[in-house]
Amino acid sequence: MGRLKRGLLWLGALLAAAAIYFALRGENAGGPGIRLQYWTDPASMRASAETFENYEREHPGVKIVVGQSAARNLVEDPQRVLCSIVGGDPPDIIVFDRYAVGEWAARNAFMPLDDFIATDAGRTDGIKKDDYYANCWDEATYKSKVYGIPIGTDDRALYYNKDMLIKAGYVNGKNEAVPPKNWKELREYAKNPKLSRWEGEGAKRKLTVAGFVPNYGNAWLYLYGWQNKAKFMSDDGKTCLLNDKPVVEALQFMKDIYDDLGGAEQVYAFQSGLQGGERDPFLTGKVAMKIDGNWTLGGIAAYKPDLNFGIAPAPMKDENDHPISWLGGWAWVIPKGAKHPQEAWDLIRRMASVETALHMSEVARRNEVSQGRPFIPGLNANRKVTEALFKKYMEDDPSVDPKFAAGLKVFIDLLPHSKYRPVTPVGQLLWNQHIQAFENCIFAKPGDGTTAQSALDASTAVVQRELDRIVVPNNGPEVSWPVISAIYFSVLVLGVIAFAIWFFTRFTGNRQARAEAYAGWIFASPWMIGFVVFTGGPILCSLIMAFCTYDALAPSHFVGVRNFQEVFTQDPLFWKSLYNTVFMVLGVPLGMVVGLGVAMLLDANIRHIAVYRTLFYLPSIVPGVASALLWMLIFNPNEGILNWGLAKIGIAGPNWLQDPNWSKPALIVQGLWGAGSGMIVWLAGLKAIPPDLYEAAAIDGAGPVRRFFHITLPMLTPYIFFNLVMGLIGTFQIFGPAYLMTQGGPVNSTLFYAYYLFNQAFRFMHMGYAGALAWVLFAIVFVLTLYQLRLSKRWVHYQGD
Amino acid sequence: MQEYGTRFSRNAYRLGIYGALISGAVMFSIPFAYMISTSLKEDDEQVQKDVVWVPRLPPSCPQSPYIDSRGGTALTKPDGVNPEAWRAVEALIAPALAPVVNAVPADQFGTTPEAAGRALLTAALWQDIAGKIPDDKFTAAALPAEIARFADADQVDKSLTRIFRAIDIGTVSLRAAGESGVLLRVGANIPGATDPVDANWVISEAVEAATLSRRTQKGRIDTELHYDFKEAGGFIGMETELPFENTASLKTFSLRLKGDASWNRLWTVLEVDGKRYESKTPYLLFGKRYGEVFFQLPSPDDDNDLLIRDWITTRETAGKFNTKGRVYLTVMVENTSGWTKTWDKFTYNYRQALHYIPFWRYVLTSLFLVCINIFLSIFSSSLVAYAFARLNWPGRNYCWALLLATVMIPGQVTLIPTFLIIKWLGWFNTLKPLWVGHAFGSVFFIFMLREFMKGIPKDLEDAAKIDGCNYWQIYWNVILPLVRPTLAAIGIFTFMGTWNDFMGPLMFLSDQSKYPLSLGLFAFQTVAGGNQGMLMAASLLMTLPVIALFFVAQRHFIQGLAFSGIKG
Repeated sequence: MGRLKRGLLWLGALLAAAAIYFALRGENAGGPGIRLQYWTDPASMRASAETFENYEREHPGVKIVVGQSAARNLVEDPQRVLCSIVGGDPPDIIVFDRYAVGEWAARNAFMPLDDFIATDAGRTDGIKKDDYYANCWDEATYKSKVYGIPIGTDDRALYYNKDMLIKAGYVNGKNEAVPPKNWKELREYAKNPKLSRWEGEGAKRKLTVAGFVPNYGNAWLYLYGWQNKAKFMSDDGKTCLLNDKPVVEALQFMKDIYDDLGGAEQVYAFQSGLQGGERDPFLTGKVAMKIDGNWTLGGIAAYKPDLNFGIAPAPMKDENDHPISWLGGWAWVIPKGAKHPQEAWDLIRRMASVETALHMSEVARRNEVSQGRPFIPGLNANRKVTEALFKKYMEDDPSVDPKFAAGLKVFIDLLPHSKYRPVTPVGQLLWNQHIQAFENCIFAKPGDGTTAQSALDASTAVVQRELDRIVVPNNGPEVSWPVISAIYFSVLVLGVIAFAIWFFTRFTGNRQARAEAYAGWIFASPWMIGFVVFTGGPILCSLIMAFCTYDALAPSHFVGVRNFQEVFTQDPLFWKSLYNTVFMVLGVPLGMVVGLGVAMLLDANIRHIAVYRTLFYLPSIVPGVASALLWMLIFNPNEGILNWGLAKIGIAGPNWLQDPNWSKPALIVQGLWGAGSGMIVWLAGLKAIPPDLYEAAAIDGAGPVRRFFHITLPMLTPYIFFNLVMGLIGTFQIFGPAYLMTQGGPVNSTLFYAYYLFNQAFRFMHMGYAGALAWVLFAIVFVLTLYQLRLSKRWVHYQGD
Repeated sequence: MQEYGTRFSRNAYRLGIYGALISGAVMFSIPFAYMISTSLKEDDEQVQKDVVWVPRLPPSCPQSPYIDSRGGTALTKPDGVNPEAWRAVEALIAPALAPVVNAVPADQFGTTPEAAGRALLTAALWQDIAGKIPDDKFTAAALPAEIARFADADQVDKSLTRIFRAIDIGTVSLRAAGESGVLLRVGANIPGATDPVDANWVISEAVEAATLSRRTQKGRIDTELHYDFKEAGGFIGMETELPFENTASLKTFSLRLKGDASWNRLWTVLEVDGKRYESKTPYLLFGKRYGEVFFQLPSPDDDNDLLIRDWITTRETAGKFNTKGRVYLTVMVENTSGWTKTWDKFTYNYRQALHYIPFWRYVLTSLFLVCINIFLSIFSSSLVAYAFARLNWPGRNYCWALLLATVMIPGQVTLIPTFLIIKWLGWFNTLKPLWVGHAFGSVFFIFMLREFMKGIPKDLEDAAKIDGCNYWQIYWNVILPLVRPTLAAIGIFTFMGTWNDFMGPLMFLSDQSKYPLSLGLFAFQTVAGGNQGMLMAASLLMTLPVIALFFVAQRHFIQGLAFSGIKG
């Protein structure tokens, strides 16, 4: 008792000290003046720092606060940006993925910039559309309004290893390597056994060197589609053309190459062993050709500058067509509700200038060379900047190997002929569905009826359904959140009043019972207050959302049970994610067995027990982020210690996280490693078993096994019950591993329910649909828990009862 | 339990327990051991073909330049070549390469003996050209011609450069506030050198053990520092006066240099306007490629700076000379002992991680949150659990159902409404959303405590009531001591939950200065990218306090467990 009190006192003292520290430090670091919030990816923060310094010197009173979005991908993982906009406190400038600018603009998240541009028309340093590559500019334009000023950009071309091509005999008269000119040649190169290599026969046949893999690098179905003159969206933006003939042909072309190489599974098994950096397969001669972006040039320069390689435009279907590429990149946007749009614009203007770009590149160069890497400049949407950078760092620098300059030139020349992803409110969905169709098609077995056409049809239907709803909204009345909150609070107040009236007029208990009731309420009040303020409202809100369309930015409308209908009838991923999640339930009993086993071992009276306890508990202490990193290393099929260890005992380990059949078992293994966290609860349970029970049993002649089954287990039932219920609930909400490690892949094999829900809510901004998913999950878990509660009456044994 | 049974069965039992404990502990700690091993490796050790458990030791290099012997002298078979064909031609390779290798002048191998140098060069050369030779040319007849075709003088030069280790110092740049920097070409002071340079390096004190030589390639002028610590003491330095006008507002300077992979230390001293700035930490000469090392002069906002610090900070000391209007730069190489080098290498990732992010500030924030959260969740969860487990009050069962139901709603879907409430309360970008919630009890802990409180026999409570205790006294004096182990477990769970939580801070904080360690690490991960060693080091730094705490606290904690057995 004394120890507990002392402990609490100590905690209180620490707390006070900490509170004082924070009070002294102050919560708000900002003084008077304007705080201009600028969000960018951390990698470019250093490059901008000196520009910001100069801006601040010229604009006294303005302080630029650089926020790190701390998200890996602002667009696919945008909960933070979204919250800040919805919450009315967005940053003033965001560096945003350009292809998503239109989609977010359609949701009214950004300010149009046309007025700023018009006002600037007379200025010499103003931002002018003509300075930019037209396609880059248009990608950030939605319904003829400009929402973003494009910055960095990138496009794609064919990298080929000259030595490997020469070795395979693809040479011209001067013994120089000749890259493929069209699709037909590309396919022939890819399946040529002098370029691609296999090992083993029959079922053990393994691809070891690939001449060309259609989607290794950065090509996607988009590129092949555009090469075949596909449009993906109709000009009026109302029809999705993902299943148009050119796209079908393009997908078929990709599938054919995968089949030539031995099928998608074999190629994926090959790809799963591939890595980046120094071990990049293009550098180590495991891939002879790839279509990839200009950004990978830097990797070659860094890790293998003497690689004999060339860069050519990606081969077109018809070699007589002008070669094309596709581009992406970044743009500055000013979110709706930004506090200082004019200052933000001034900063954008300054940052968009050629001088700043050159200066920032210089810092970036220093940063690269400080890490021992040569500097290859990036491409910029501003034509003048791209040209100036090329001149300064490639043409005028004698130390640069001319092959890098020639390579970069190919990318620059392709820029004006590059396509960009359709600017449409369904851009993100279209992107994900085009990947979905691609994976479904190349993984299809001959018998199961999936063709390029049918895969694309299915994906088109999903996009079109969404599109139709945006073009002709068929929604019910608008939801008024203030009214709903008012109703929520009045119902609460009325409920409390009604309950109070009931209690004071009808309650039949004696004085003792009344006293106990008051005590109960007072003791439970922390939870009650918390529920009313922080939990009840959001839960109610999510319930209402489930019957609405809601994207967090635009007003929401009632749509009846449409979301639920869709969940059950039109969404294969719902079933897929549910299956994945149910699969993980296997880990719950396994985890309990391991946890209990460890706890029983640690319950023994043994020397140095502290060391063992700490060792077993270690894994649960490792933070989730670190654990994810560590296990990605461990599961690496080629260099990870798991397969290394298995190989030592003669087992060829699977590809774990890269193999759709093994990714879930891998995550269960990882989960078992952390089973020590349950150990604490088990230990508490074991220690609470009165020793006299064992003594009595021992006197009666019961052995350890019988003692375990007749005393330990029955006495532990409350703990088993608790672990089972919580384990199940936790498993149904499993999110971290998918979010941190696999992103739901490969082929959706780790798309867990909560992660799918999260994606629906934040990646596609289907908050309403996510709400419906949440309540379906709730129903499932609720029924399961009720069932367990009912069963528990039969087997759970409380000492107190 | 093991106190019963015969002596034999007792011993067997003990043996079994020990066996299970030790093997289990080993299995559980393997990943962790790998984590530690990874954190001790330098960047290029991460990409080995085989799994390497023991990190490499730094080499012993008292002399430089030299030829790196790590690639070995063996000639390896390229992938895809038939082993039999390989055996037939293996012996032909070295003779075929001999003419070009022997054409290299003897002084090109630095301090490495000539014979060893040539053997190493042969292996390196073969490694560079082997992949270019078509598989069907691996015959006694064709191979020599192929080797002659690829192994030309140019290739020999490239391969030699690849394994040649020396300290090369290139341009020096200086930057004053508000300027974009002045790049200076600094050459070695060698009589007769005609290349135009802005300043000249000279050896600080004339020692025979060190010389400077000038390398000019591809338009760059580099100064190569040769040293022999077998002859000289611990330091060898070179210095120069730099032409720089704006001395008053000088902010940073940088050196473009290539290390010699010796893990010796490099220090700089900059003297400007009568002030002397010494680098606080050494730059370790482990690299093999050109890199640029940045040094920053002390500035008042050093401590508030939240940028990723990839520069070396300097400290101001009393100037020895009157250097008004002039800038002197001294670069020193310190020869460290094998132990120091090992220490430097193994702590490198850790020091980098600590230097890159404001680690201690993050730790403080995390500690604050941990303390307050443990206190709040133990207190409020046990209060609420007591009400649900031991008290009868109208509405209890409805409330219990509601409480259970709230755990089953996935948190992701209530994110936005919760955020709006936080925003409405004005708590966005404060630490409040990260701790206030704990004052209302956590459903998980309430459930856990309720289960265990229900297990407490009624008679204890009744006895207390007869003694005249009120409900608070029963809770405080009877129930709490009995669930103490569970409270301790809750404390540990809360500690870990708070220490590791990054989703909450990610949502509710926008100022980096308010980040707790978990989010700091997550943000660091987005910056450090592929550098596994540094990430693991940072992760371990984050984990170690918790391990230490658990190790120390678990004895008290388990003692608490042991005495809490309830006599039924």
